[in-house]
Amino acid sequence: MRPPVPSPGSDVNKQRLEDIDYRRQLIHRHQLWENKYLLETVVIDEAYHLIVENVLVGTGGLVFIAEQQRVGRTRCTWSVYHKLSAAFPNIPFDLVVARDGLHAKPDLFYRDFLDALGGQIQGRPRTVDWFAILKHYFTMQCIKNQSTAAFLIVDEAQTLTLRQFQHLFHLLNRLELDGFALHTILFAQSEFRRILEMANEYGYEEVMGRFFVKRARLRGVRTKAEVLRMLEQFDTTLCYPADATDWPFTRFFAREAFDAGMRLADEIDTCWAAILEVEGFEGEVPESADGIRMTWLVRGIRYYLTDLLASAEPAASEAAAGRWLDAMRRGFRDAPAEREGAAYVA
Amino acid sequence: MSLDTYSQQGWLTAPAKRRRHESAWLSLQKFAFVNVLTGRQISDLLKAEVDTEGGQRETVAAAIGAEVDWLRANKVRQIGPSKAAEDFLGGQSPFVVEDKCVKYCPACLQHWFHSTVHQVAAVVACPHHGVPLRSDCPNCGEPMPEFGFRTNDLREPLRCAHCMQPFHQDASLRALFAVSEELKAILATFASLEQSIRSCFATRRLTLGMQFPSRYSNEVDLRQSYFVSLWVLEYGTAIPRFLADVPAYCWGPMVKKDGDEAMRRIGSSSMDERKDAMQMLRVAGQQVRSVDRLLRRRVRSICGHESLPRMSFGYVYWFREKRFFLHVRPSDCACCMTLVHWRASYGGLMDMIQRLNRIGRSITESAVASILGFDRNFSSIATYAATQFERSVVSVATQLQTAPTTTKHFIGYQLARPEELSAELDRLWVDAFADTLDPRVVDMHCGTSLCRIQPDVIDQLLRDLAGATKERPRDGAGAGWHEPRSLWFCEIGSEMFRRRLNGWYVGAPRMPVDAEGIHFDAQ
Repeated sequence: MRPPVPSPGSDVNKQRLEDIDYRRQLIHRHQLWENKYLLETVVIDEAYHLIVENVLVGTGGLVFIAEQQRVGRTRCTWSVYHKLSAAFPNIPFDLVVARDGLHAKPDLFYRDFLDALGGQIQGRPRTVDWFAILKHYFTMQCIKNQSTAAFLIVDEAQTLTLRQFQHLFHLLNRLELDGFALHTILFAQSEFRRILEMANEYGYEEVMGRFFVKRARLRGVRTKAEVLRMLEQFDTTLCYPADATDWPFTRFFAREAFDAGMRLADEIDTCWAAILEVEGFEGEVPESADGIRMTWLVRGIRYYLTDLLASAEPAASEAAAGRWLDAMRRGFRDAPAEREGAAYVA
Repeated sequence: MSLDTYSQQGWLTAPAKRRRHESAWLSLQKFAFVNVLTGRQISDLLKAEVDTEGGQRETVAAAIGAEVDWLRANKVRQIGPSKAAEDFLGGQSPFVVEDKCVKYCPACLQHWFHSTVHQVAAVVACPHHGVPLRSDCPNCGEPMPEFGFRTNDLREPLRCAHCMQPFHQDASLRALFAVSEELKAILATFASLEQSIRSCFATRRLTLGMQFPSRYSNEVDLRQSYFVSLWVLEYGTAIPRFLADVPAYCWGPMVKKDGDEAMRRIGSSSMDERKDAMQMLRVAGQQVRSVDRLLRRRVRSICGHESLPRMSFGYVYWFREKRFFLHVRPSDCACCMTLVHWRASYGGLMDMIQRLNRIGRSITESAVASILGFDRNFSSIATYAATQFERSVVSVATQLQTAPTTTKHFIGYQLARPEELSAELDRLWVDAFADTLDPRVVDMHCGTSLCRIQPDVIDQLLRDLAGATKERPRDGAGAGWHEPRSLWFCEIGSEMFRRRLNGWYVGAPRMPVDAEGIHFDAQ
C-alpha cells in the first residue's frame, strides 16, 4: 500500500482566498487539520540516510525503535517511503501497517498480511493458497519495476509476534528461490525491545539475522534549529491548495500579517521559549531526553495559526509570545493519555 | 479504468506495456494464474454486485481487456461465432476473429505473448516472425482451447486442458510478465500494426467501393488477399506500405493462387481448388459482415435506431425475363438508409454467397465460377438462390409489393452508369459539397464500374431525393411512387446489362413504356 496523500484542495476557489470568512469556512478541510502533510525534519533525514546506507546496499533488516509515542514515527514512514520512491524509481517500495490480531496460523497470516498490504482478499474460496498469492504480490512488484529486490516498510512492527516473523521468513526464502529478494525496514515502538529479547532468548537466529540486523533509535525534536526548519516550511513550501504556491500555510491562516512581513520563522525565539517552558526544560533539551514529541509540537503550531485566523489580528510581538505559550500549552496538554504513558529515557 | 485504479483495488495485474497488446484470452489466463483464481471464481466475481468502491466486475474486465457486459453475459457459456469474439475484445476489433480455437505463433508463445492479430481469420503466419501459426497444443497435439472465456478452460490457467502441461515450459511469473528486449521488438511490431489498422478503420470518412478485376485483365493480382480487398473496400486506396512489407502469405490462402490461369481452373473439376474458392468466399463473407457490424455500430451511434430495414430478394419482369432486385423496407432515417445502401451494394451479395454454401455443391460451384468470373452477374446469383428459396424470397417480395401500407410504397432507382451518376450528383450538390474532399470518385477499371460515394454524400442524396420527389407527379404504369421517405434500392448485373437498359436513373425512375408486369405497388 501507499501512504495517504493529503487532499490537494483542487476544489478551493483561489479567487476567494483573500476573503477571511471563506478561509474560515475551509479551515477544517485544510491540510493542517487533515494532518496528512509531511514535514522535512532532521530525524527523517537521518532515517533516510541510514536506510540507504544499510538496506539498499543489500544488508537489510533495519529496525527503528521509538522509545516514546507520538514522536512522529508514522509520518516518518510516510516521508521515508516518498523519499525512497522518488530517489529510486526503479526499486519497488511498499508500506504495511501491522496490527494486532493478525492470525497466527501461517496461511491465514499471509491472508491478513496481504489485506494489510492492500491486496485483494475478497472473492476467494477458503482453500486458496494465500502464500502463493502473497509471493506473487511481491514478485509482480519486482517484475513491474524490472528489479530483483523489493523493500517493505513495516510500521507498528511491535504488533507482530516472533512466530509471524517466522512466517515472513519463509516468504523471504521462497522469493529468494525464485530469484527475488525482499528486504524489510521496521518501525516500532519501545515494546519491540521485548520481542528482541525473546528472539535472543529463544534462539530465533534466522529471524534476527533477517529482520533485526541493525537497530536505530527514533527520537523527537531536540534543537531550536529543527523547529526553525519546520516553521520555515510552514512559511514557504507547505501550501494549500497544493498548487497555489502563493498560499503557504502561514499566509492562509494570517494573510494580512503575512503580507505585512510576518513569518513564523521570525518568531522562532518566542516559539522555542514557549516549548521549553511547557516541557519544563531550561535552555535546551537534555541529551538524555528523547526529544519533543512531534505530534504535540505540530499540534501547538496548528493552534497558533488557527488562533491567528480566528482573531484576524496581526501578530504583534508581545501578543505573539502569549499566543505561542498558550498554543503550546494546549498542544501539549490535549494529550492526557499520551502524557501519562510517556517516559523519558534517562 | 486505469491500471492504477484496479491495481489499487488489490488485484495483481500485468505491466501496462505488455497487457496493452496481448489478446484478451491470454490476459485472462494470466490474470487467473497470478491471482490464483479459477474460472469459477472469476465467474463469481463477475456475478458479484458492484459496490460503490469495489467494482469487481469492472476491475476484472479492465484487467483482462474485455467489456463487462459481455463478460457478464458469457461468463459460463461457450462463445459463439465471431460476433461474440469481437465483443469479447471490447467491440473495437475491426477484424473477423476466429474463436473456435486459439491460433498462436510458437515463437511468440515462448515469450508468453499472443495477440488478437493472430486470431484474425486471414492471418496464417505471424506478422513478426513469419512462422506459420499453430492451433494445437505444443505438447500433446490436441486442439488449443477456444478463444474466449470458458470456466472449464480456466481450471488450470496457462495449461492445456488435455495434457495439463503449460503451453510453454517456463511458466514462471518472470517469463509471463517480464518484458525482455526480444519481446519489446515483438510488441513494437504488433503495436505499430494495430495502431495503423485501427486508425484507418476508425476514420469517419469511409470510402466504400467494390473492385473486382475482370477475367480478361492481365493486371489481375490474385496475390491480393482478402485483407487487401477489404482495405480497398474501406478506403479505395492501395494497401499502405507498412502492410505491404508484411509477408503476403500472412494474410490468407488466396495469395497462393496466381494469375488468370488459376481463375480459369476454379470452374474445373479440381476439388481442392473449389474448396479453396469456397473458403475464400467464406472468409470474404465474414469480413464483409465484420465491416457491416462496424458500420452498423457507427450508424446506430448516430441515430440510435436498433432495427434496420430488412432486405430480401424480389424480382420484376423486365422484357419478359426476371430481373432480381433487393427489396428494402423503407425507413425515414437517412442514417439507417445509408447503411442499407451499403448492404445493398455489397452485403446482400455476400450474404447470398454464404447461403449458397448450404445449397449444394453443383449450384455452389456454378455460382462460385460465375462470381470468380467476375461478371458481377447479380441476377444470375439471385436466380440460383431463387431456385432454392423462391418461395420464401418471392413471397416476401410479393408481400411487400401487394400489401403495402403508406410506409411501404417504393420508389425504385438503381446505380446508373458512373458518369451518369456523377452528373446527377453534380446537378444536386455542386455548391453544398464544393469543399468536400473528393466527394465521389468514379473509376472505370477493366470494364468494371467502380463508383465510390462517401456516406455523407449518400445521406444527403437520400434526403434530397426524398424532398425532391415530393413534388414529382406519379408516372409510369405500375410505377410505385413513394411517400417522401420511402426508398428502395436495387442493383442490376454488370455493365453489359446496364447498357441494355434505358433504365432508371437516380432521382427519377423513368419506366420504359413497354415494360410489362412490373410488380410494384401501384398505389
